[in-house]
Amino acid sequence: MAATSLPAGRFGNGRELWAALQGLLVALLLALSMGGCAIRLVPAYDPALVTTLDDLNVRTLSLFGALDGGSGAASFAQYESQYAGLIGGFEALVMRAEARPVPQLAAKLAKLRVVAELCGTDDAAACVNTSPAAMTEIVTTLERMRDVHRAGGLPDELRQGFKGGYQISIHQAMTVETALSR
Amino acid sequence: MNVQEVVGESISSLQGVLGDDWGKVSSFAEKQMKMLATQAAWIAESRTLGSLRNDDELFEFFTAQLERMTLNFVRSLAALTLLTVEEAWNAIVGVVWKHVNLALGAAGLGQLPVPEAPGV
Repeated sequence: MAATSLPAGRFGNGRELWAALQGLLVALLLALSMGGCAIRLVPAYDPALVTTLDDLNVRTLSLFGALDGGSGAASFAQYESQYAGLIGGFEALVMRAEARPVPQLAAKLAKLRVVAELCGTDDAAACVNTSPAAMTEIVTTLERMRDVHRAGGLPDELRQGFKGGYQISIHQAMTVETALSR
Repeated sequence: MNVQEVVGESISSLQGVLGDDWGKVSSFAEKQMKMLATQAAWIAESRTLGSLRNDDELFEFFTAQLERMTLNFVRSLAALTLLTVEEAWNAIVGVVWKHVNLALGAAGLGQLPVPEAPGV
């Protein structure tokens, strides 16, 4: 699979994605004919969320490190509380991030065709407050890895696959949340 | 109010925001696309030669997840783009109102706060 093509979804390659983003920029700037008003388009920065996310990331990467080389089902019990702590921690962050309000202006802009097409939805929350989905994916990954480990052991090859999925989602969540500090 | 001065300062301010922010957005996109492609390659190899070869259900888990993560990547890009627009717009508004207030001050009139868009 070519490194520059997206593996799935509506954009076949990076060029199409950039064209869509440029269209988004133009449409947003045209739509923002508000005169001289300051605007808010994305949720507010939450420093406590970022700090907790950072901490959970360190602990999750430590777990992946401890499982390096794989781990048999017989060893699962010594990791059970770590799995539980991480899953619970990320679930709590999902709730915290979902609870924050989406700016009303963003909700209106999300209805623009170009925005709705890019995001695959006109639900402003899904398009603008993206961290809950990324962190939900992390919960899904950890739960599945836990279940595999418990049922029959975790081969190193599968550990790598779960880690790969985790790294994609944590990178999304951390990048967006840190950027909100403006 | 010197219009050329306002325009010049607005452009500098905008270049600063767009330069910094767009750099971050494009490096985020580059890293994400690389990671998604690496994950896709892992799934393909594991399905052909490894643990996923005889596990349809787990293969389906990873492929469905990859699709969701790709969608969330695009949405994250949209969110970061919106943030860039917000910062760029507010940077220009800040410059314009600064000069409006300088002119008002010079005329002995009171300062005005930067208005916020309705529904913000």
